[in-house]
Amino acid sequence: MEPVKLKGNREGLILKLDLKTSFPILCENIMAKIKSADAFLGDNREIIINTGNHVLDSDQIEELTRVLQSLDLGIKKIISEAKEEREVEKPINSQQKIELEQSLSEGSTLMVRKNLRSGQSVFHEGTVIVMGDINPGAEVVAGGHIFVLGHLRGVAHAGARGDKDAVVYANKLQPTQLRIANLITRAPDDESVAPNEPELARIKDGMVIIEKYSLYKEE
Amino acid sequence: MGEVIVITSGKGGVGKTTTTANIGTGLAAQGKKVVLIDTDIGLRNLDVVMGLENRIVYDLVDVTQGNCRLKQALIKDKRFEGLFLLPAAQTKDKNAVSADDMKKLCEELREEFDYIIVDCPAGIEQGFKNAIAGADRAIVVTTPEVSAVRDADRIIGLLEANNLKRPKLVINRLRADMVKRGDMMNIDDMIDILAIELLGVVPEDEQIVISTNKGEPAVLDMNSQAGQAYRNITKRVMNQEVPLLNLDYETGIVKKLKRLLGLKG
Ligand SMILES: Nc1ncnc2c1ncn2[C@@H]1O[C@H](COP(=O)(O)OP(=O)(O)OP(=O)(O)O)[C@@H](O)[C@H]1O
Ligand SMILES: [Mg+2]
Repeated sequence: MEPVKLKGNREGLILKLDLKTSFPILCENIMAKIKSADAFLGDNREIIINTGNHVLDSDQIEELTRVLQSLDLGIKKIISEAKEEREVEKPINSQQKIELEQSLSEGSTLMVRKNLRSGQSVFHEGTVIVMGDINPGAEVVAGGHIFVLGHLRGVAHAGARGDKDAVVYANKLQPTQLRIANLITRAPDDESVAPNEPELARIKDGMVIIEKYSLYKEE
Repeated sequence: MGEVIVITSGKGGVGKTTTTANIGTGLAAQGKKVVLIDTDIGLRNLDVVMGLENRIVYDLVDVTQGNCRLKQALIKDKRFEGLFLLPAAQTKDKNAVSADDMKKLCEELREEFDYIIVDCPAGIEQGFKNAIAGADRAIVVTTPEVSAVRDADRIIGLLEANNLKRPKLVINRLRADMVKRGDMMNIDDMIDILAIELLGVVPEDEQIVISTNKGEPAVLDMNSQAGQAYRNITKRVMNQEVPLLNLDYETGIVKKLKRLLGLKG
């Protein structure tokens, strides 16, 4: 199949990417495709990205954003139909099992392209990417993972339907409160200093732990 | 049976939340069992002033909608055993709470606490009606400004119409130096207009700003003037007699005396 397809539907323009193609080539293809279809695009400068069975990592999202920006385009949201392949802990009862399956099969990713301010909240069954900050008093609740490309100072709840494998990533992770599945941790009461590198929170041995993202990658 | 006290003002930003936090903490420091309710849905602050924001899981709307049990939503204070906070919702619809919900809630809390202190939102809309719905008594906060006093007067009228007779007054952010120069309304002028009993006068004090930012109510700070004022107010809430704090302002008698002697006053 073609590595890049451009389609329109009710929601807007969808750029369907085949990630079996290497990413740099994919980006070149996107450039060519958009240029050939520029008239078709018109004033509609926000497009939807569909990544099929794959999930983009944060580097890829960044690169893609850059490429599209050079074409004067923005990303409305990124969706994928990926089923996450990983071992799910043995569910304790069937009720929980249904909920887990629901959250894992709901593979769509919601892209939030703004700062979430106090009183604003986002709920989504799949994974949420926030290209901005989550301020104190704001809240993101996701069935899947939460990635914050800015400063997380508010509340984030990943794996809200009970998925203990969910993670919360933030370039600056300084939440008021963090929840993963049914576990809750809160900020220390004494003033905490802003971290100077990206961090990742996940459940390990029944506890929420926070570690530097650079160390996590090496694991 | 506990007592439900609503802290209200009409005008925004005059010190309702500060007063709620300090009276509540003051009462707890006196060994009372106290719960603070933040009814300012969508603009909650009391949790921050109390330094408890990071403990919030459930809120007032969760309780009234039955998403959790009341006990689960009560946040225990970090300093006092007997002090709890029921936070307002920040991200939910503020019409989710009704006056009836509040009445029921207050009835339930009354069984277990000595004092239920309700922090009211600014204004006279639904939030105000909810906040006063379950109250036995009211404390009206004002600052020494004509506009704040005007709103306090309106509020007192509404309270009385809702069977909250004889509300008491807290005058906040008084500056003795300005009153002396005649640049600020003095206490007698305000009492004259509002004609209600004075519960206390809290001076303008930068310690309030510091303690608000730290999440530690000034009433616990023995070096803060405002803290002293709130300690006295707390005792008056408990019906103990405490003389008014000497703020170096001119009392009515001094003023009258001066006028008699032909001095400016
Ligand atoms: N006595 C005081 N001296 C100095 N600053 C004060 C004093 N009392 C209150 N403040 C400051 O005034 C501001 C408003 O106070 P507060 O939040 O208690 O008012 P409020 O009536 O609850 O406001 P709102 O109507 O928005 O709920 C705060 O920043 C607080 O620190
Ligand atoms: Mg307030």
